[in-house]
Amino acid sequence: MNVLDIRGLTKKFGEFVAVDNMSLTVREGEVFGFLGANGAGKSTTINMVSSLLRPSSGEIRILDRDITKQSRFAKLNLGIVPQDLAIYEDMTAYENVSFFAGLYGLRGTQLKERTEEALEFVGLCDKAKSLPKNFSGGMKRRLNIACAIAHKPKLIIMDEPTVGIDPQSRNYILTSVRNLNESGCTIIYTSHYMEEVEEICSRIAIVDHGKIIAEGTKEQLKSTITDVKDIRIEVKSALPAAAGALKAIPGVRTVLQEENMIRIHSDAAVDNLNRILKQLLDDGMEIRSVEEQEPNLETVFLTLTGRNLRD
Amino acid sequence: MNILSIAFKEIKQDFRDWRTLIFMLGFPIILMLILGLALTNAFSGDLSVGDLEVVVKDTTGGGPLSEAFAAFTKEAGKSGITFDSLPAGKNGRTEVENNRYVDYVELSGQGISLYGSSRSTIESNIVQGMLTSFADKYNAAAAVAQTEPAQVQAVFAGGAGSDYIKELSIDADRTPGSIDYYALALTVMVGMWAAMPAGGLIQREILRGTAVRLVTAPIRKSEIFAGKVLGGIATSFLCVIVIFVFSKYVFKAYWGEHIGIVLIVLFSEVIMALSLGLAFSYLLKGSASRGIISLIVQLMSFFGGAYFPIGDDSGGGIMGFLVNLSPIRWGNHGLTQVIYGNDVSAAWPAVGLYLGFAILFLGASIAAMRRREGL
Amino acid sequence: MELWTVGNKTILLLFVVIATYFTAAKPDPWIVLLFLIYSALNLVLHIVKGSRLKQGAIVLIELFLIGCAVYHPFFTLLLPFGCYELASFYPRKNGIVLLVILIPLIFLRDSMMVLYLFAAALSYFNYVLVRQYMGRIVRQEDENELIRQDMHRLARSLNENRDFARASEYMVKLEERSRLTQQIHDGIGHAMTGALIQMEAAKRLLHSDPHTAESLLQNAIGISKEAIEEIRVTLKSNKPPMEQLGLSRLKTAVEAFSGKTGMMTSVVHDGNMEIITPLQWKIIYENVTEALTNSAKYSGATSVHVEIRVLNRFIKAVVSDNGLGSSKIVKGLGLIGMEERTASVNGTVIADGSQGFTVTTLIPYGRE
Repeated sequence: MNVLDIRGLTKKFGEFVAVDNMSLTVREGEVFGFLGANGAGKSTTINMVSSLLRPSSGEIRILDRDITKQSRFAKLNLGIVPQDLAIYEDMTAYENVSFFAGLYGLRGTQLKERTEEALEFVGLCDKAKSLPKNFSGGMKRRLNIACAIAHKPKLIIMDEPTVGIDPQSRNYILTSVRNLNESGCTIIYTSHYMEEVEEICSRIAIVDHGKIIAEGTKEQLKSTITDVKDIRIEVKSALPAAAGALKAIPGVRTVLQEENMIRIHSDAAVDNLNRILKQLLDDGMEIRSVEEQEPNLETVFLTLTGRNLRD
Repeated sequence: MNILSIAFKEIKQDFRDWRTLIFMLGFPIILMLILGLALTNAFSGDLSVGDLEVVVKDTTGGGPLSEAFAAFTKEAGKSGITFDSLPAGKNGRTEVENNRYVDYVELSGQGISLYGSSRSTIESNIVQGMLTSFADKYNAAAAVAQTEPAQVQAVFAGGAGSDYIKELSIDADRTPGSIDYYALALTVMVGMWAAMPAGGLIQREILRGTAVRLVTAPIRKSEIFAGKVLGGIATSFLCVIVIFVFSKYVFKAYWGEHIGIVLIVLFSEVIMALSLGLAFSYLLKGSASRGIISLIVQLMSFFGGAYFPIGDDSGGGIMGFLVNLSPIRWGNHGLTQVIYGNDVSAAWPAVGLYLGFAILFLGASIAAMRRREGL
Repeated sequence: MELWTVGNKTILLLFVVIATYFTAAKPDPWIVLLFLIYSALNLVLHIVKGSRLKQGAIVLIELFLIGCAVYHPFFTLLLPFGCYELASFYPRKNGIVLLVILIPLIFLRDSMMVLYLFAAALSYFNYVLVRQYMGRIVRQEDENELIRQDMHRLARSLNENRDFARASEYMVKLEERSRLTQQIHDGIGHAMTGALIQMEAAKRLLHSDPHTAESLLQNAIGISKEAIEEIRVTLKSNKPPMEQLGLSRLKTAVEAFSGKTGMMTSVVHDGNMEIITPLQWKIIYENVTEALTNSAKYSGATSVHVEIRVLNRFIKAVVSDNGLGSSKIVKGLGLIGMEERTASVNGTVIADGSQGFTVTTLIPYGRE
């Protein structure tokens, strides 16, 4: 089932086109990454999905229902973790989560249970009675997430949830994204941190100037620019016989030997590093270092758009 | 339900912001104390009613009204109000305009007409109040006369002695003292202060980013709006009540006999002030609106007589215009009538004005909110 | 200029009329007459044609005014205008005019002197300004004329060039055609003729000498085979490869653009160009030329870089200039056209104005 369906979505601010005829589909159980530079139109798209902005044209469907015609249904199934913290600093963590969950129709003991559950999920149980004023940046971010999940939405949208926090909290958040996904949530994750997206997203769309320029798994995206990986193996002393045997390994295209450096071009799609190394070891070579150069999403973005993600 | 939970959250937040709260409550109380004690002299003596002179023209040529009025003037004379009949060939209105008399009363077949002086409104008010209660009595008597003529005398007899005076509270004790004046003026001012937090009612959510959550929650924008307005009104009105109670029981300020009416006027004022603040925050986006609102409130307080009594004798001209423009003035005026004039009906114009403007401002805010994307 | 002077003159005349006639204790009919004569003379000045006559009229007015001034000093106030009008026939002598209009000061006393000084200074200031603007207008009109002539000349030479280009293109085609004809004639024509002769001979000898006939036929077959091979070779050598056609067409267009606009251009390509289909080439070509035109029109750039890259799943064509760029891109017809074209092959166009202006065309291609 498609959790999110966007067709021909366009948003204009005056003459400026922020989102340009965008179409995309997010399937159930995915962690869908939205990768793009600042101002690429990620947040505008998210804001339209969460009905903060009205689309200039196009259609958005959540769980196969139009979000303008059945906005209550769409909103009930949606959890938003906004880019900027959206919590009340003068209300305790518990009150924050409970207030927002209450807006989703939760009452009484159910409200209490869900609130506690959400706080436990982000590890803020012991801080439930404290005011967020005294929280660290990472804790505030976690509370920000708790406020979005207490009502158990099917689709959670996280808009740059890791901006400006310490590595530890960042890891915590990434782990919780995975946990949420495992518990059955579909997640849309926007970021301009390539590593994060690469790490947790099952499918990724690269957005630039309001358009999706490429979409697919990270392997598919990488293969859009090249399907060759460059493996460099430094050995203590190269035997002349090595090349022939290496070429027989599936995926290997060319083998070059320069003194004690072996350079192998191989199909990026084939996972053959282990076999290559085994072959070399079997040949009695002593390996000093291995370096595998594969295109990452950053290079994909750079190659396709000619610009860096973090300009 | 959602409306209530938003309103409740709003109240909770407002009361946790104790710094603002202390200012909202402490400032008027301290001001009341200082101004009330420092300016005591400004209020004593000046307003003694002994030198009230009213000129009367009787064109009914005798009859029940004339008789009743004569009785009334006699009673009133005891309190130091002299009723002179208009010398022939003189115009009553010009006499008043020339400040020779406080008021000009004309008795005719149609009833009693009163021409007050804009220079001495307080005195004029007193006379007006007296005449109103006289007219009430007379009307009652006239009604009785139609059915049971014998009882007419009883009606007037019942009101003999210093009845008029009592009702009008013109005895020396009940002229507004300085603390009474400031209790009233500053409470009305605090009511108007509702405009200041109201400016941030929606803005605050946007600044904190929580507007995103509210809008994405499965509730209608109108529910958010209603909840916030409700919460804002409740907080501000609670502040007003605290000031009111404090002034009544700690400062022993006189609040008259009609506490319910007084509170209704204050409540409608709070609604109006809040709507005003809300409308401004929608009209002028950004944080500039807050500064402008507090400036406007300060101007209103100043012209409305919150800091020092702006006499009605400021008369016409720009000053008079500005004074009458201030909503604080409407409340002050109406409540003075209610408390000291015992004239309950004087509250309704103020309430009407407040609620009318409140509807106007709320309507404008709702229109602006609907057009806006997000909150 | 004339309207300005007339306006100024009228204002001052009204002032003089009011000051002399209406404020006088007793209305003086003579003054009315003098005013009327003055107005009439001014009308004459605007009616007569030719600079000589106009100058004469002006001198007449000035003399008349001096005469009037003897009768009533206020008339001196009107004197400066004549000087300006006269001076406007002789440009570049503003200083002298100032001196001349100050002469009457010698004959004036007290308040009249002050009045005159003010009137003269005010009108002088006006006059200088107006003249400056007039001068500018005249200069601009001259420039306009020059530009118009230039344009005319350029348009003509452009037409001629176009004719020449068309003619040379035709010539090139003719040459190419004659070369092809020659090649066919020289190679295949000769071979076929040879084969034909051998076959004719074989036909005659078919019954009398079958053996010779067979060898002759064999010979003819050999010649025909060779000819067919030659046709193949000729055709192959003459057919230009597609990728060269696409790329060279693009390069030619970019170079022509460079010649036309004087902008520096460069074209680089990378990857396997053979993959690009003619339809894709067409789209790339159109997008690149459109982007170049935009760069020339709006960016103020001095150089444009064109890059064609064939990636693993995408064909990428980039046109980037070093111009102003723009922080917010407003889609014009050009960009929308590009997008529509590119969308027909499932591609996208990205316009970016952050560092100069860059238009990137991305076309996905399938690879089995």
